[in-house]
Amino acid sequence: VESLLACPDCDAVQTAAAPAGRDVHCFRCGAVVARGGRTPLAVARAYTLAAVPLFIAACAYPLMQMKGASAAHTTVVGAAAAMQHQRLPALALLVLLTTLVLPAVELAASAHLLLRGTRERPALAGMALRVREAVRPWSQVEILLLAVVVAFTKLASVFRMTPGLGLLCLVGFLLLQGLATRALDPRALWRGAT
Amino acid sequence: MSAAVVTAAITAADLGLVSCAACGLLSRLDPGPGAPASMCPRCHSRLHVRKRDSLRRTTAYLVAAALAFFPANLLPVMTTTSPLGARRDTILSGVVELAERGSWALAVLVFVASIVVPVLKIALLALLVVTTRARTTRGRLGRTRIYRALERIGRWSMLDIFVMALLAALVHSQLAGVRIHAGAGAFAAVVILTMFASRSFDPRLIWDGAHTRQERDHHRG
Repeated sequence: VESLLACPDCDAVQTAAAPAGRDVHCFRCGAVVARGGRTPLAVARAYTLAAVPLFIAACAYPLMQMKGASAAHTTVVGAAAAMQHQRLPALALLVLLTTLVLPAVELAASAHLLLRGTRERPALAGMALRVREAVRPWSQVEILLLAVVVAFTKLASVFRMTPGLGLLCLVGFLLLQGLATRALDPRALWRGAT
Repeated sequence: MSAAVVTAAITAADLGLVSCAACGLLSRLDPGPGAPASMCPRCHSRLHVRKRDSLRRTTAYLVAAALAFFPANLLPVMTTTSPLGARRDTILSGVVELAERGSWALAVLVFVASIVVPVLKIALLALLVVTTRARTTRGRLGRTRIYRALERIGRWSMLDIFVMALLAALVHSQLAGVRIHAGAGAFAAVVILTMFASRSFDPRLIWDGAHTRQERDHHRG
């Protein structure tokens, strides 16, 4: 029954004939039931692979610096370390997972799907899809970016602040990841398209 | 047919089919003797017709989130010290301080992310659980849309936790310092519990029974 699918939000059975380039919405509840992306998977692959070095750089370089007598800077790991320093290990773990570990897991799962495909080891691909789906709400780099803006504004009224290279990499990473997510049609993975 | 919303449809469950949550393939729920039960034939993921114990689990997470909501908003989350003195903030007083400094846009942003979204999420998910349990037929489309919106915006409440972590990471000189309190833990617990609550809810339950004869007759009549 490959030509039929059930809506993930209301279970209505329907066909997924996509008018070129448009997402297909459920006739009953409006959920997106199929991506109409005609972008080849190679595009999603290129975006995903380009996002990897940017993510590493975003973690390695400072997000922002504080100038003057109390000069300081912070990185992604620095935010988690600060929570540990405050003797709040659970919050430190939460920050580390949501801003570093789980985004990396999401990226790795996407890279696996795009590089290895689904044909050779379908069970492994299924696992990668499940991991990606489970991890996505907890992968919160874009929220960290907004938090940097808020913290920067709060501190800028007292200290001299400058944005760091890590912040630029973070923005670049999020752009590429957004493009990759839009270009990756999970159904195309199983059609064996390349 | 009127201009009313389409409610009648054949669902996968009606046909004895199940949709794989991982790869989307529609397959038979009962593959017949000998074959491994309830496993996606394409990607080998476990198949579930509906999320397991959806309403009960959602309710449990919601009750826990509602309980944690009070310490999260009443306890101080952060103390900032500067040569001008020390300042102890709750989530709400932190928003007020942002507004007093003239950062109106950011104050609204943090207020929405930290207070409005968790409150809405708990209240609206409770509404979804109650109406689904009562098999309410009205406003199915609207309730499904509410669910989708909650799933999308719920995670943004983590904003304040990250702001606190960044402030603590930057401000630690002899002159100025930041101390984060246990209230922040309660706040994070609210965010995590509401995220688990919305993940546990299965929106397909809103529509189950939409095709019954009674309702079709009701629509005709």
